[in-house]
Amino acid sequence: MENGKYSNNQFDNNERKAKAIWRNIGIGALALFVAVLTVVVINL
Amino acid sequence: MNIGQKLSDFWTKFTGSAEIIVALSVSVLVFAVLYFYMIRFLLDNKSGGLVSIFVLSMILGAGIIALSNMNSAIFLVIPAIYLVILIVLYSVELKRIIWAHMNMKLADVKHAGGRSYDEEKVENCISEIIKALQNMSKSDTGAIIVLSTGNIPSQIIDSGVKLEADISSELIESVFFPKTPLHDGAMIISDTKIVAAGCFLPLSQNVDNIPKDLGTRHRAGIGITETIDVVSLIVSEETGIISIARAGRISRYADFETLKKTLNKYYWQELESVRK
Repeated sequence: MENGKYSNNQFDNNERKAKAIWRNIGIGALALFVAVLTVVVINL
Repeated sequence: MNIGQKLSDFWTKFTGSAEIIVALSVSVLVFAVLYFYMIRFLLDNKSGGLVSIFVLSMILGAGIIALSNMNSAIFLVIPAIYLVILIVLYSVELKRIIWAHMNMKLADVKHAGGRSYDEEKVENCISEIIKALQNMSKSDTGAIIVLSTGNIPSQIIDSGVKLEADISSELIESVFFPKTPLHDGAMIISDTKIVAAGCFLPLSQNVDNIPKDLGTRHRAGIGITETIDVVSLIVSEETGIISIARAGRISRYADFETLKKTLNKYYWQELESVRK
């Protein structure tokens, strides 16, 4: 196998992991906003 | 009662006692977890539009209920409707998640990991698989081979005959030779072993993106890639065309280079990632 193949994969993996974390944070924030909205509305 | 007064009453109630604070916080947490998985699932399935509609309808619904004298519990109808839509529209994807996380024990992954990876052996496996596919293509012998990383549910392997044999073009061609008992099912390859043959695969539910001229074998080859992260190699019985299916999509007319690239990726990247 050529050298460098793993290092490229490693780089891709790190980048992918960072993207996935930010994506989950974004989804979490949106989910929290809608959850707060739901709880406030049903308790009005 | 106007919206300002309603919110002020809510705030008084909210800050009234510790019990109410805890109850409301738990409710927020439960809803947040539910929405988190719902939104992530929709985004994973390329349905960002549905997420926008969901959030907008929640905001709109909240506005309508806050401004009118409607029973506020009606608001829960909106997430309930979305939950039903999600279950109905994405039954296949939900099945995939259940399979992957909770369901039946997955086929033994261990033999994919911990084994010394012999480059020569892998190259041999790759060339044997390609040789078999090309021979079967020349003789118009139908075949379906699934490259698994040990993630095939055990009920699929149990539907065929377990082989646990070394990969050889002769064995692959023999299995798919017409009129033999195993030729109609799928062969499951994991690592450098033929795990099973004659296995039944779930058929693709996608009627729009699959050309009408593709038969059951192709639909089974695509179907398994819709529910599990595997690659299928399919040889058409009618035309001898070799196709590669992945993630519910099929690419036809695979030549030597494409097959080699796919198999190299399988052995050197996908199996490697399972080992880590």
